[in-house]
Amino acid sequence: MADKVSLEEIGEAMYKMVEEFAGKKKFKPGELGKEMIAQFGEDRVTKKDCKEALKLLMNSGRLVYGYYGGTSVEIPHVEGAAKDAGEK
Amino acid sequence: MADEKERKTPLLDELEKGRWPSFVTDLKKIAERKPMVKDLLGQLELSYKEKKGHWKHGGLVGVRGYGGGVIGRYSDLPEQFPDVKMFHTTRVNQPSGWFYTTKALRELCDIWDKYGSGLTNVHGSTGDFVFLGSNTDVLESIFTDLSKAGWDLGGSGSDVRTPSCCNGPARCELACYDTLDMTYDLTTTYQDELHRPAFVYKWKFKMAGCPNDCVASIARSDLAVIGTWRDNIRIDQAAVKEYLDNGLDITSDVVLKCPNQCIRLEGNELSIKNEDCVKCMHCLNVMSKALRPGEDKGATILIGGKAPIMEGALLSSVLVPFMKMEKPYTEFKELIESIWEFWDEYGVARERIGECIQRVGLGNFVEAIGLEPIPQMVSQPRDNPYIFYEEYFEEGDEEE
Repeated sequence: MADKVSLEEIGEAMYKMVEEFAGKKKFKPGELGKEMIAQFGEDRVTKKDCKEALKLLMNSGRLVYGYYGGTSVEIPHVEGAAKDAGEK
Repeated sequence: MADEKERKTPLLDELEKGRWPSFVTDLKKIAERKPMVKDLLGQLELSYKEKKGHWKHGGLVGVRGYGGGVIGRYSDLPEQFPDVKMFHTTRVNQPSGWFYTTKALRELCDIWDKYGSGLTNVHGSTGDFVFLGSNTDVLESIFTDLSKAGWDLGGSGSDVRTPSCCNGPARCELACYDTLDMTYDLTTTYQDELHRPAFVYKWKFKMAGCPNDCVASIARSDLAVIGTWRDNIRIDQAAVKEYLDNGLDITSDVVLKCPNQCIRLEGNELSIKNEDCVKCMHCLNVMSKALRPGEDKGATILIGGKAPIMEGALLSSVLVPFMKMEKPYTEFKELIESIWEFWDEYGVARERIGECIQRVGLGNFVEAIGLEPIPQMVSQPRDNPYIFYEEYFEEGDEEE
């Protein structure tokens, strides 16, 4: 059986993906999970692992949830409406 | 400047006239101590004048770790109305059946008065206790104070929305299962799904204790759990006689109004042909002392209801005609999780489960989640089932 990937490693790969596509594509949490399974293989990463890894990222504040019609995963930043309202 | 804005609300002032309580009067009262509400009145007046909304919604606001519970709202005229440039909504998970003590209500209002506009929506259409209007910088404090007092945020975004239910057995003799307990159980079981959006779109549960469906679960939830029974309606003939003695015209008001004509009144005796009953509830509602649901109680599970956003409104269809609803609700939870698995795999962005099922076909959906198709899977009583029974066709039939 293939070695399991640690949650930290999955989280890091998720973060990199969100960072790389920032401004080009908004990932939904489920999509990120599917990307991770595709990247590491389903024998090494499960959906549950991806959820836990994302939870760690969210709890640490490295990533945040955004809502633009549907929920997406984002790197914290001050977006348009918040900027207009003077948020920093 | 604020005083000037306060004075000039001629269109809103119209809504204070007449016999009914006015939200404008309430807003003006709160505006005396909350500058935010003064600007809210100003912006609303402008919206009425221009026939145009001035709110933007969405964004990244929330509390750390959670993806739901806070809905970002911003004015698109921040310079003109600086005190509502941020006016976020916070959803507080309501108790099952919306039962509060006055102490609990004061606690919520005190927290909200401390940090926000003081305006509430009790309750929002999702069921939550809603705080209307706060700045971003107080969100964590609101959440901390709520948590310390034993409250939690509700759902928003692509997650499980705060489950809600009718009063159930707490106040209603017609309840066929404990809606309050089940709602609480689902809320605690699916905490992650509620606070950490992981779906393609929103998911709503609503629990109704009987087919009266007082929470309108059939139209307002993706998965409706509607209490029912599968044995006979219980009849208290002495109470039937009492209704007659008190002047109720049972023939006109009950027998003739039965949609399936399955009730008879012979002398003082009422009889029901239970196999023809479609659980419309009319007779039980009119003669609540004489008629009771049967004793073999459970619920019908329906799927696919939603309001008009995106693809138009849908009413739910029967998925499971009867399921016992008893702790720990294992069978029900297994069903939900298999549906979520399917939806996660085949649902597309912003597609509710009802729309997803319409796209892939109900028959395919049922097969994928491992349910045996049965004739009771219908969109309404006495309707044709939506399953195409291929086994009814003999080999070679298609060629004829």
